[in-house]
Amino acid sequence: MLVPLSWLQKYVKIDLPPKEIAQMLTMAGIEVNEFKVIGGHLDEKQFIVGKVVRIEPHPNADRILLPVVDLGSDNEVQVVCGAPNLLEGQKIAFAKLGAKVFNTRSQKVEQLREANIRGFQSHGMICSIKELGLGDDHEGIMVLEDSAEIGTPLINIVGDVVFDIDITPNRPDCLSIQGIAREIAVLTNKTIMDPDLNFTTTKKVAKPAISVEVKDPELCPRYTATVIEGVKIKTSPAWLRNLLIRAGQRPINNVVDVTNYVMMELNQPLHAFDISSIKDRSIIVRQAKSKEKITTLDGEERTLEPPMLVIADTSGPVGLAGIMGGLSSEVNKDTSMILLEAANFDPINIRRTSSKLHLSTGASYRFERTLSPKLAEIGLRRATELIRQLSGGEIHDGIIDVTSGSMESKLIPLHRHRLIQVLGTQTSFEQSTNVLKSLGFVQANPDDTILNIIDTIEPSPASQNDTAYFAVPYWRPEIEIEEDLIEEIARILGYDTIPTTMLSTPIPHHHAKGLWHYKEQIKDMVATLGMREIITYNLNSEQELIDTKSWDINNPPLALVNPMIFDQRFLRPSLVPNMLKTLSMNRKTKRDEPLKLFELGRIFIPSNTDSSTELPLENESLIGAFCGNRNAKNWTAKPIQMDFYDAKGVLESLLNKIGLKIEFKKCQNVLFSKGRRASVVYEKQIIGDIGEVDTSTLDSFDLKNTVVTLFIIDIKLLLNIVENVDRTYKEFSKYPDSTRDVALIVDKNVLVDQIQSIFKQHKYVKDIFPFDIYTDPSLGINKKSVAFQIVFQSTKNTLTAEQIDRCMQDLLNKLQRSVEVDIRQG
Amino acid sequence: MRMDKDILKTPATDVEQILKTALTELGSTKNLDALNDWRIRYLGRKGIVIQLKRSISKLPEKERPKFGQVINETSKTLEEQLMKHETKISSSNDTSVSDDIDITLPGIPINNGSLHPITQTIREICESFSSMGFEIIEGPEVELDYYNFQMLNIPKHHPARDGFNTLWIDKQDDEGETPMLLRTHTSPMQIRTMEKQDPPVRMIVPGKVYRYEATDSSHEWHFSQIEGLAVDQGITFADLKGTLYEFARKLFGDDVKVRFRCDYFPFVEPGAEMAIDWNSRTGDNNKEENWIEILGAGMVHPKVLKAVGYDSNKYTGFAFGIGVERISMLKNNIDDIRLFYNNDVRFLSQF
Repeated sequence: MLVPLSWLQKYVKIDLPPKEIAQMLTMAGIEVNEFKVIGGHLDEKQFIVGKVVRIEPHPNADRILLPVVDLGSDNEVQVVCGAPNLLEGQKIAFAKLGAKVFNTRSQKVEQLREANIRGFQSHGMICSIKELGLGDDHEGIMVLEDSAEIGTPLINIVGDVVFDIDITPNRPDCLSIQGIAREIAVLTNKTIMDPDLNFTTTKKVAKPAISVEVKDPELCPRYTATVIEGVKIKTSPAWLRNLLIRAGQRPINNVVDVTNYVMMELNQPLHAFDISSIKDRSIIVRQAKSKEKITTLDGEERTLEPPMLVIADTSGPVGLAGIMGGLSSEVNKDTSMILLEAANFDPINIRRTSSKLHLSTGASYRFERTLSPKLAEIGLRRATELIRQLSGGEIHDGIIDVTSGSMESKLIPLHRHRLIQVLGTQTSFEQSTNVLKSLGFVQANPDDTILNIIDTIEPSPASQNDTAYFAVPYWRPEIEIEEDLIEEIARILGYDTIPTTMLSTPIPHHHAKGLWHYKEQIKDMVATLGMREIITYNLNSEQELIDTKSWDINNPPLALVNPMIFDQRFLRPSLVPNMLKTLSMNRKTKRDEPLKLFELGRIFIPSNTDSSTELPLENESLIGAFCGNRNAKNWTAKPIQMDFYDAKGVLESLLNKIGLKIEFKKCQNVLFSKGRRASVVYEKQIIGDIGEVDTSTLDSFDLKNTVVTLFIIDIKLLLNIVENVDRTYKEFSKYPDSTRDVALIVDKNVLVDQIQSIFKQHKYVKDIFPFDIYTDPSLGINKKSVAFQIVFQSTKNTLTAEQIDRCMQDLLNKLQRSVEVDIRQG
Repeated sequence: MRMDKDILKTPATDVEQILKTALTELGSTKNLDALNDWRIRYLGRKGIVIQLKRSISKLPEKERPKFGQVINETSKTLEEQLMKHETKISSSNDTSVSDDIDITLPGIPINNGSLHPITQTIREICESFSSMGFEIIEGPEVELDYYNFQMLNIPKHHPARDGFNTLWIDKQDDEGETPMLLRTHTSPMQIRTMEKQDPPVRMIVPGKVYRYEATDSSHEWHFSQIEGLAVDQGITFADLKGTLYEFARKLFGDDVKVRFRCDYFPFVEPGAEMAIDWNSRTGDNNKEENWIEILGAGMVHPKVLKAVGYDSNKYTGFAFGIGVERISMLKNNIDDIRLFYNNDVRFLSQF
């Protein structure tokens, strides 16, 4: 909201600099984003008020005039001017030679020099708003008010400060200039000056010029109106136009401008109807009929439905209640008799209507935030008198007022002990009640039965004297409970007056270490293994999910109604697509540099029911990705592309660190290339998959000519398992170990694990690992040679060479019984 | 190495000969090893010069000063020449030093892992509250309107909803409404926790939140928040200030100044916003104050306490919400919030 300082000054004396006002308001909850000084660039000596004393025509040019300007102190100068709105007697903004003005031809700020225009000297310039740098208006010169004194610096007339303020939804009162002024008055200990609400009715009428019927008092608790006859529609005076412009409102005509002015001044939205367009001189406030139509002031035809509220005459809607008037009843240049409406409408219905029609206006914004029915008459009185003053009409006797809503004040208690209980401060009770009084709260007697008492706390007998009751002022509808009063006290006294203490209540019992901690530990472990963490968005497109085989036809992912990016609307059931996208993006800059990325994030599995309230299962998934060369560029090793075994190595290290003995079994996950994929199995339970991503999937993520290996682990499953894993210390053997090497020639499709598992069963075999694998035609068709090193160790004694040899022989015999093998012992 | 016992038996005048021999030998050393051998032989702890010095005592008394002087000069000369020759050998490109490695070659690179800056910032914030007795828990990202809004004193059609532009899940109920959404804040976990647990409560909730908002350098539709809640008998606004001030000090340094101003959140009353004076961190009081908002907070609204069945006359508490990206941006001087979820390695590798 834009709030001009000069407008505020109509209601409160402000003697602090704008910066301090901004700071003060901000601290009290009225956040000032910034303030702009208007006209600060207008030099006091070079821009002054002048008066056009006479205008002489140019002898050879029709459109050019030769006005003589009085600058005061007997100083008259002649200038050359082509403005269409130049008139004798006008007070104008004069720029002396040397002043810096905006040149509309060069579009630059330039110094004004003496110019000869069509044979005449111009000794200065009569400026437009645009030339002064005060706005975009260049239709003609800027005309000042008659009261402007000749020779005074222009900045004294047009200078202003405009505050840009964010109003929180709980402060509808501060959507008005008066509301902000009231805050400033309280914060600076000044009195607020309310505008005069008296007006003179000048026309007695036998019978009201128009009838008003409110058919839905629930949705329209109050409807007030006046009739003004004989108005003359014209441009508003400069003071009004300027204030509206500074407050961000476009001036229209004297009647409409007054309705906007009073809405901004006092918060009450108003609307003026041209009475001549109201059929049967009858206003009916009712719900719209289904598919009823109205063309609003913005020229849009809108289709309505109940319970949208309309202002109608006997033929149909003439206005959308509380939101926007209808085009048919708009005040126009020929209007002479108007109906001025100031009503009160139900906030929820206004909000629903406004959001359904995608039509938000200054009026609807205010009604949504709840206004008091009391305000309607106050706004009406103010606007009626202003319209009479500015358009010269006569006000019909009497105010039309259809009221059903309650205008009672709420009465809220303030207890001394509650104040202390909430704030933790020993603020004086008297000081606190004084704050409330300064804000317009009225201390009242709870026995006064006409008031509506809201008491949340049973006052204890001892504290009777420490309780005060306050009637809430009509402009603060959101004040409902005692804590609201406490906030008022705290914010006006300043939050910095409240002490700063540490929590002194006992620390509650905590649960055993939770999921969060375990996840963070896993992240640490993975990062230690050289992987870089990424965090991606939780949404994907349908195509991305299909491309990564993550689209479950039987349980499709949850979709958003209103995604940020139109195709990114599905809650991810897999971390794969965003990982591939991240790899693809990074390869564009990193090329074949090693990319080892991981993400530990949420995936969303729909409940697979039709229920609209059953939340999806949010699982935690870990994905690791490997792409590019194994090593960063260096001078010792030739570049080798990472593959399945790089991923497997990291995964094994991780799971080993966690304490899990896992196996890798062939799997059918179609995300991965056939023959290059496996399930990660712990005691027959699959906890994840690993594999090289299928090339067609890689192609769709623009990852061509490369290998991407992924592992994907179900973290919740993993953590369930970990809970039951024995991770206690195991004594290691004190006796030396011995090794034996053996090369085995086996069928190519024999898995290393088939061989190892046989060895591992023996109590003396501490470890076995393959250290050389090769294939060669000399080995035979479809044969491979695998060389193993076997480590023997006993926990009871040092094994003798004979023991080991015997053991080795037993194991090889055993092996030969299960696998066809040719043994070459080293 | 030849033994020099004979030399030591010779009279003082022969010292000159020793010097000559030594310098000739020095001149013929070609590498640092040889040089070292020479140094040990002449200038070492058991070297010739030391032995010469010791031999002084065997000379007649009147010859001793002169001989001593000669030896000292000889020793000085040898050391000077040694240094000169050492410099010469070190700087020469003598092929005989080919065993040396090129210590300027880069080391074998290790692929560094790293944690995402958001993870790091979340941890830092969580640790600061953990140490004050707050338990860390998490909650669902897909929420119900009921928990995300209604129970937090944000009824349907309330204007406060304007501040929470919501991403709705496409699942309609019988009335055509969509009750599921992506949570707009971590605050629903206040309700879920209090529904399950009697007071006292002291917890924080890190997690992702979502807003239907256009993105630019300081706005993301997808970001992280940390919720906090403490409820018990006797918790006051003063405690709120103290706890959050402590947090600010832990994150931004002992000298940081904080400021609390009135702000509005429907589920707290009174509501507050905390800002830190960015220029106060260094303890330099001469700089102009630069207040940067870092979190919203307030006393838990009695309506919220009542909604979960707490006695709001007996229990009070405070709640707060911290934007993680903002803190990370401040601490790491990051000027564009979009960098976080773009995951460019050139960005990630800096953390």
